[in-house]
Amino acid sequence: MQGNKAMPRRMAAKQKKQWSLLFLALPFMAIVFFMKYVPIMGWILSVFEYRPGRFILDCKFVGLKFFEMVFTDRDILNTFKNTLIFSGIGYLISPLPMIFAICLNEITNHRTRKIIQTITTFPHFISWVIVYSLAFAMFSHEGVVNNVFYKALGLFEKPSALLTDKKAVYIFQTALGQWKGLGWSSIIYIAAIAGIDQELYEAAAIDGAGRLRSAMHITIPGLMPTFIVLLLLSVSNFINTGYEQYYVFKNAVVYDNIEVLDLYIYRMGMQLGDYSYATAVGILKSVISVSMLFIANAIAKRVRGTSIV
Amino acid sequence: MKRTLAYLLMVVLVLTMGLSGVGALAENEVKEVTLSLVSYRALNTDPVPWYETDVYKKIFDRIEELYGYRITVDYEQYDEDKLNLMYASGELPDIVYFYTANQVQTVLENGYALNLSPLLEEYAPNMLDERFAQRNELMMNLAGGEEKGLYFIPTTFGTELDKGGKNSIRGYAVRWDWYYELGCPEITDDESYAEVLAQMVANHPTTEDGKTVYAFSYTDSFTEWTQMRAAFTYESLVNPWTLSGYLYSEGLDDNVLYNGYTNTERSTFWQEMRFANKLWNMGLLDPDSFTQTSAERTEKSNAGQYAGAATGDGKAIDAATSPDSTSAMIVVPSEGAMFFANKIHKAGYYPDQQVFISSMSENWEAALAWVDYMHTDEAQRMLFSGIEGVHWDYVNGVPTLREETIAMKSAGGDELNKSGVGITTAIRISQPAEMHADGYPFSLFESDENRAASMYPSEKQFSEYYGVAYPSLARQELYEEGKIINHSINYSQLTAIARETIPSDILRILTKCNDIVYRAIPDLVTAATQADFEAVQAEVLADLAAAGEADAWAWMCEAQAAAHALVDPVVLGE
Repeated sequence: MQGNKAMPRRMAAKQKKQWSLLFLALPFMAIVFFMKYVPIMGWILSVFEYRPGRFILDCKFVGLKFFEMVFTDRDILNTFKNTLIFSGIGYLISPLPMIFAICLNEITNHRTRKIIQTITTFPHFISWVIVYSLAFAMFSHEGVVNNVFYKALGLFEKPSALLTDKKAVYIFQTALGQWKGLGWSSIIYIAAIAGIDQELYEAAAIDGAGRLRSAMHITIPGLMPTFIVLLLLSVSNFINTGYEQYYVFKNAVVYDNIEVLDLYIYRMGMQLGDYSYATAVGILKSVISVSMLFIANAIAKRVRGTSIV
Repeated sequence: MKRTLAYLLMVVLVLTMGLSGVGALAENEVKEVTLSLVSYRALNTDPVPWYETDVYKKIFDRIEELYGYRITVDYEQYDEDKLNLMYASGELPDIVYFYTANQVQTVLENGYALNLSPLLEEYAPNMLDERFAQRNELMMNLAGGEEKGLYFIPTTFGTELDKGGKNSIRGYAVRWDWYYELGCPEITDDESYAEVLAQMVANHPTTEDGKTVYAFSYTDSFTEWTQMRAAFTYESLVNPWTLSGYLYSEGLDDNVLYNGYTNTERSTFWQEMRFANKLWNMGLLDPDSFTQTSAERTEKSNAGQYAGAATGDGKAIDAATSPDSTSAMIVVPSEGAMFFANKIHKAGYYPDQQVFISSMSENWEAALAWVDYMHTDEAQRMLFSGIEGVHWDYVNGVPTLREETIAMKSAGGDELNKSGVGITTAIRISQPAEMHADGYPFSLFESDENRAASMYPSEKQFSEYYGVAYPSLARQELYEEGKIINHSINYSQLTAIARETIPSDILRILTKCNDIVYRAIPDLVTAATQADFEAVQAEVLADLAAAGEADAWAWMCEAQAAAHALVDPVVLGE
């Protein structure tokens, strides 16, 4: 009888403890609410002909006019195509950070490994404006590449013009992105490798496995859960390419191939002051992103039995 | 009794002393105020901020003496994106120095600017001076809203570039030493300009350290590729600030509106494309023109890699890096380009560059005191010529620059910037050539003698060759002979502030039009033959038509006509 009384008391104490833990999460929930959900109210701009400075309800209500415009805007199709290409290439090379982390892990000299890791992580902290200046110094008509390979060594038939090469835009920009982000992206895999049980490697070594076999049969399988989770998370960002890189590298020659959705939204909203239209495009982009996340989640659930949402 | 009387007297004495003390304190009380100021343009901030130069320190001292405010400045430079955001948020600083005519209506419609009209008599009597009466009236009529109030204070009012300044700033610019070497051949249009540049490059294909020399270059700037050079040559001859950022412009000679998108004959864009295409096919255009920034081009310019320049004020070569050489860019006297001089701006240099005090400002009295003081002769002379007794003196009643001031101005650099003499500031009311009450210009550097005394070697050689006292007089002569015009008959910038805000739908069309022409630039410039060029041109015209350019043009014609109806009686009725 006493035991029966004690049970609800223990449960109540446990519940109380859970509530206090939940209470600890409140500040973070507030941050998420105010920083992520409250700004969604800005979506209201998409149904008004918004003029800066005016109270929103004093602006002309236009219903879904801007959403209709999105579907008749010829430029959107092109920017969407560019976005998909950049993201598609990004997906194709998404194992690169993992491969890089594995290679790095195979370097036995600790000092060398640290130096390489530092050198490859450093570009992450360089702004895209600086990257552009470096790229201009390297790849402009009178840049280092042309001075060395065209003028000095005569290895090129004509000067290389990577910054204005329409066809090379996708590869060039992706390469720059990788140069800047590879080291940083590999950090999570390096951490994951550190978490793999070392006894597995020792056992493999006793069984005669070399470094390549160990990497193939221990490291890669050990990293796959991390890779899959990151891949799934990145699905929701499939069309969120950001705009900074493309903004600094755009020019009249490559414009058609470099303008992505984020840059288009920035240009429409921030540069041209067409906030309403830019908001409508942004909303559609968010809808697509969320839809893709749920689709990817469902696929993951069916294939692997686990999901992230 | 005696004691009581003594106490009473003491109390009265103390009270009297106390009261008189309080009175003295109130009279001398100085209110310390920090004014936030946002400017669209980069003001000179090296090696000290512009508001901490010697001149500005003196200006703030005088404001403290005259108005009782000790002003400190919280300054930020905003580009157009930031200005738009600022308007969108409605959070404005005390003073805003902004540009583009479209913002006038935005500011007005949203009540961002303080109406100064009812405050002038009490707080800003200098702004009511007779010389500003017409300016104030114009601003109240054209940008005064329904109340016809004075909301905006135009900058640099008066005569622009008296006799063209020391150097002409628009027209065909060449590297002087190479041009001189050729015997200064005549340049009458883009065609002859390209040929002269070609000869210069042929004589100097590389710099001394082996770098390639090009005839000409651009940066990745829309206005540079589409407007700014061609606008002042006789082939186009239009005012590029008619509708800033877009290609509808009024003729500088006839004030007629021209469609720069579709009128391929009189269009800065199409003229520039023909010129760039010609240079490209001659192998003379810098291939980095599509990608380089202004800073990157300046670096090449300083290295001596160009024979010509996109604008005529490219003095980078000898002024900054080689003061003893004659290798500066200089605008030649040509019958192919107008004379950019002697324009009387009744409502400021660009009526679309204005200062306003925020209606939300809690420190508007101090802000208005600052603006008012800048309207005095004392402040204007100080801005342009420096401090009396430090940089100039009255000699036999004539304001005369000290020799060291002239030397400092010629040398440029940190010392000049630190002094603040003649630097660009946010609140600059008059043109330098406007007259002080003493009968001499605000800028004492603007006299013929001082212009001649402060020339660089290239300018000296140029002046000797053309037999003039200083370079721009060579073009002044052409103007006086009736061979070229100046821009004094054009008043497009005045109509710009009276024009209605561009409606959103039209703005979208214009944006598309700019996109279409911008993206076509590489194909037009690199077209190998005339037929190729025409094919791209036909595509561009078709794309513009599909984008609804005709609707934008119809709006512009109507809006411009309405603006003219307001402005013409003021300008032409006199």
